Amino acid sequence: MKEWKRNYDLYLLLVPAAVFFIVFAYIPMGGLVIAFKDYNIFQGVWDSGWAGLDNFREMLSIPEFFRITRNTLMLNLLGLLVCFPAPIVLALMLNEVRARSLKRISQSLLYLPHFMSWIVLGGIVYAVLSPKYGVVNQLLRWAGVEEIYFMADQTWWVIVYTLSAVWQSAGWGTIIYLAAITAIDPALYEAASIDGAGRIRKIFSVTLPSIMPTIVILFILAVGQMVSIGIEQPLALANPVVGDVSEVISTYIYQVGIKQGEFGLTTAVGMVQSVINLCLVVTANHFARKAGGEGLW
Amino acid sequence: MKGSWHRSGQAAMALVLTLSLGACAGGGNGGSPSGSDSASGSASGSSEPGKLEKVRVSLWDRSNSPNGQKLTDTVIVKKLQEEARKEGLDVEYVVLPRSQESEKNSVWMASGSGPDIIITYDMNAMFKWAEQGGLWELDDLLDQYGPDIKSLIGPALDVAGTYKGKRYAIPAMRMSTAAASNMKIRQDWLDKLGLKAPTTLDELYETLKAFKEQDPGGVGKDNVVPWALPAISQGMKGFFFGPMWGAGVATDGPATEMYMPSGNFENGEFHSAVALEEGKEFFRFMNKLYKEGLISKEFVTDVNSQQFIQNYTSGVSGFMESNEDPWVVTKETRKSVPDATWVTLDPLVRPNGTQAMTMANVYGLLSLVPKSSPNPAAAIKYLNFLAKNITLVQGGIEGVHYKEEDGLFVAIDPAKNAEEIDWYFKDLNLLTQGYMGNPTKEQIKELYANESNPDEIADILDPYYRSFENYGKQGPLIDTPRPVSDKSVANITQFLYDALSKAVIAKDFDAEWENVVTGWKKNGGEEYDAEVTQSLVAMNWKTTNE
Repeated sequence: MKEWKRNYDLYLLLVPAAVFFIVFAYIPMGGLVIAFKDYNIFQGVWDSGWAGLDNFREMLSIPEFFRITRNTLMLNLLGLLVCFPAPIVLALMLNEVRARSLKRISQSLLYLPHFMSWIVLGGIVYAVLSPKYGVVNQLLRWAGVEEIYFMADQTWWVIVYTLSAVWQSAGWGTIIYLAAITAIDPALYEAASIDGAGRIRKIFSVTLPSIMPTIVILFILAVGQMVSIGIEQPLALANPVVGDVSEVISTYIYQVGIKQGEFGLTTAVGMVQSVINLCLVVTANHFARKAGGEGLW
Repeated sequence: MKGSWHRSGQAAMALVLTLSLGACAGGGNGGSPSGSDSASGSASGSSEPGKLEKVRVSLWDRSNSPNGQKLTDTVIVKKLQEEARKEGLDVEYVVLPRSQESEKNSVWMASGSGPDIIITYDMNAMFKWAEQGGLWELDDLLDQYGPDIKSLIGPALDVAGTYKGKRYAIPAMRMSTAAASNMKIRQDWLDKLGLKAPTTLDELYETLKAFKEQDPGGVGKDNVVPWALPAISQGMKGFFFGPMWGAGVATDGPATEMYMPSGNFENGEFHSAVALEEGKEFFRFMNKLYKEGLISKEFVTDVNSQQFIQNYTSGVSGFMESNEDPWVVTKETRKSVPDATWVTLDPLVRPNGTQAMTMANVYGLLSLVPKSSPNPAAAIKYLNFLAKNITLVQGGIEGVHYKEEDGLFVAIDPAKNAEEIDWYFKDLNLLTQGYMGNPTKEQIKELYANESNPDEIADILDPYYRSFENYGKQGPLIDTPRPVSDKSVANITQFLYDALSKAVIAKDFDAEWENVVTGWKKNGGEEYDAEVTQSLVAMNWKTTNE
């Protein structure tokens, strides 16, 4: 209490943020009650009849439910394995670039895809990989290899999906790591040099351990997103023949839930997603702390 | 009477809400509480002089104002408001972006803050809202206040706007139903090869093959894509209407997002297209075309129709199906291939000897009155007023914007119209789409008088209109609830996009078709058909197959 009194002005600064989260994050959570209701928009949330667990039962009975969950997990897991380390490697590499102008230019070029909409990027991917007109297949033909219809082949589609995600996000992701790297005490590098460490040695013995807390925190956050997936990328890259691997929870909700106005069912799916995500974050945090590192809390 | 008490209470509350919202928005009319003081609105004395009934009407904004003019300050809007005032109506137009139709409507319906007239093309949305009790029933109001509406658009009222037998919408009437998917073929290619237009599916195959092998466009054999076709998916132009009619499928089922004839009603039972032998044979045909390179090798990934459009506009394709009329497509193609001519291909002769094509329904845009409207009578009075002044929103102000010649509205000064009325006035027309039926050949010439080649255009377009007149068929409009369909139709459609695409590109068609049928059943296809059968039997539907 004393502490509160003494620093009231500092706590006052917290108020806008607290209000923001209460209004935009906590109050809307009340809407989760829709998941248990037979929701009728004209009767409103409270007057709609209770549906018990019907919405959840219906969710499990959707023939596609297993498939969309599997796809979401698969694409996210691949994303975690490939897309998560990519910006770290890239940041380490950029950090070693000595020519300033080269560093600036390559950074800007790497950020660029982040600012483009997935719809545009999707168009580019389709154009580049087109069997008849695309550059990639042109090269393959020159090399005497038979052309590949990348976007219509399920395996290739998954690979393209993952790599295009790296292309879109890796450059932007380096920002946080580069910031963490600049915060490293130069004395550590000098000490390492005196001990005779080369550049590679320094990366592994100084840079990486120093940014480890940042990596762990971002990793925990990434794990927390395992069950949810953005809608733009799958929507922009999907096509009817790869539906078996490209249909994910978000696109399914959009195509079947939102377009049909099935608010109850959609809320149920969203709620299950959030609960699983929360469990994953807590678990990841637990292990991170157990492993001796710092967790989120 | 009990009901009306309850209603007026509700309506009064809604009115307070509307007024207070109007005040917040600073809506133009100074918030004069002129409108309905009694929510029942059935009292006949409501149009005393000086006492205006307030009515708020949706108006789409296509953000296409040519000179930054505000939609609500335009000539026709002002004119309508002025004329309506004479009839005791104080009209306010509530502007919403065209692209946000469904979002806005949903928000309005849920919050009860919408205008008195809400507009949509989405029949299912209307059914849903009607089922949930969000719309006023309009039967009595239409009888009482809508005599001019009835005489203007009777045919549309006869077929649409009802749910479970009660009226919830005033459907606009399409004056010309020659608007739907139609097959087109390159006449100049046929001429060059000395071929006649194909009349059956087999002949179509031979023609496409000839296009591919003999390359009449001189674009290089490898570049010819005889049939321009994009992906089979929602919103795409992967249309199979014409050719599939030709294979023997009819359109006896309700319209879905599958762009093909829906199925056949035979011996008292409805079967979806994929459950029919004719449907299977049609996709076997498509599979053959794919294997022989007569459709694009990449059509399944053309998910934004880009290649499709490029194929026909760049002159590498000779056959296509789309909603545009052949002149629109010809004009587009001529930009890069000056001697290209697309003409209408009459429907193919079907196995049973008939010819048919899908034609637009006679109804179009739906006007709805949400329960939140305090005075539904005023909404109908407005529409009736609009019916009486319909030429204002069909051609503009007579003598200022158009003059009538041979049943055609001829613009007096096209440049003035482009600026003053063209960009919005059709959106004010909630009752008719277009103002005339199909034009005659002579009328087509007059309509295109300002083009350099009206005679040629008439030659191209006349067969187009006549083919709709001779062969056009409309599917059934089922206005009873179909719970099975509500649950399963989205899943079935989604499944079929994938499955049919795979069937077309399959190496082993028969094996892949097994998947189509089993998957369709797993998603509830048979139950869907059974439900449609019930509705069709109840409405005494006559098959379109004959």
